[in-house]
Amino acid sequence: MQLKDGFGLRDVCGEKVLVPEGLENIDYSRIINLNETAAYLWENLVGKEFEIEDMVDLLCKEYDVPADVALNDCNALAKKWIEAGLAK
Amino acid sequence: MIKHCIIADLHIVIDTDDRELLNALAPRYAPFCHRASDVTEVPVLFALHHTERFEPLANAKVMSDFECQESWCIYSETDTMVQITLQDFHTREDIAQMQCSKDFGEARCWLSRSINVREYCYNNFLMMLFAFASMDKQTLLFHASVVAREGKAYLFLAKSGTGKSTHSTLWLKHVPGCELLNDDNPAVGVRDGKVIVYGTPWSGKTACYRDVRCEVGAFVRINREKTCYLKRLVSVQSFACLLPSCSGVKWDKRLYRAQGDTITMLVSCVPVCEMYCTPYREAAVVCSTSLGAWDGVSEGEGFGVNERSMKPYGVTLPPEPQDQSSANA
Repeated sequence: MQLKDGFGLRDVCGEKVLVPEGLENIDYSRIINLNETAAYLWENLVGKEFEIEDMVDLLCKEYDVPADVALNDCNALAKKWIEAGLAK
Repeated sequence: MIKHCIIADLHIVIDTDDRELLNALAPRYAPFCHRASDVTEVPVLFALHHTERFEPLANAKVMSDFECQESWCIYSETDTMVQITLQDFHTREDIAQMQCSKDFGEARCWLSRSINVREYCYNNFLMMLFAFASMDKQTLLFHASVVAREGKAYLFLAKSGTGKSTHSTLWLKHVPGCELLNDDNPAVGVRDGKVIVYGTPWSGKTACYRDVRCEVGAFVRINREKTCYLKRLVSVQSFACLLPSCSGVKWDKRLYRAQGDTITMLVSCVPVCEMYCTPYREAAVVCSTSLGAWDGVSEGEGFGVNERSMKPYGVTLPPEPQDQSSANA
């Protein structure tokens, strides 16, 4: 999997927000609100080729969460990112 | 002939020997003009030199091609230069062209045709240069209509045709002590931690070219509805609400990020709201009353006749003493 280029992650009053930038996303008119965990994953995965297992490793490294729970959450998040046009 | 203007504390230089053009521009720009000797301390944001016709840039890549009022606008660039061409809407013939540095600091243009067309093109070039060059100067050119009252300004945002100007007109008519600050393209800047709105030489169809400034009380997006109520947005919604109302070049990542930083500052300092309303008197009354009684309304909560009915429809505001200093510097 890969996150799409051209999204800038910014902090708006303590909230993490993805804002489309540059020509790649000139027609992408939405901005996306990420929670803290999703923002942590995004920051560590952007620009890389990765698998669900890499997401799980990142989560388990940072948070006290069992691997099976993390796997479920990461699958759900990856699906959402693909649906929202943020990953392919 | 060189003219110096200060717009939103930023210094722009107009350079043309076309007397007819200067006369045509005067109503808009004269309120902002200063003697050269008075502004030597203020760094120049950009200078636009009107010259003889020049050759278009070779190998310029088209970044954007859009309808611009009565003309077509083509934005293209090379590694070092930006070129903006205005074309006749019907024939697609070039009628004016500007070339500038990538930071929009130095620009030259040629113009053609009648004085009306020349004025339209030169004015548009100045407005675009201002919008783009100020993006990293904590300054944003907004698409909004602005009224000021009791030392606070309210910016009404909406897509063209939704009724920004109509809403301002309702305030001017029904809310005592209001004045119009700008009707289409005010500049908003963060200055010493405060959010300030400035009049500009660009005000849509209303000739409201005022060199005034005022602290911003709120940004209000206007939506048409059968009843009237105001809802304050949370921070992320506020950011998403303001972003499309700011002019700028989305494809220049450095400038676009700088613009995002400024919007983030606005959102952290000033309330951003959605106003759902009719185009009639009660819209101005509910909006002004709700904004005036803002204390105690937290982010995300509604305020008005539909949600948490605080004031009845058509409430008459008590006459307020005229505030002489409301929108003047």
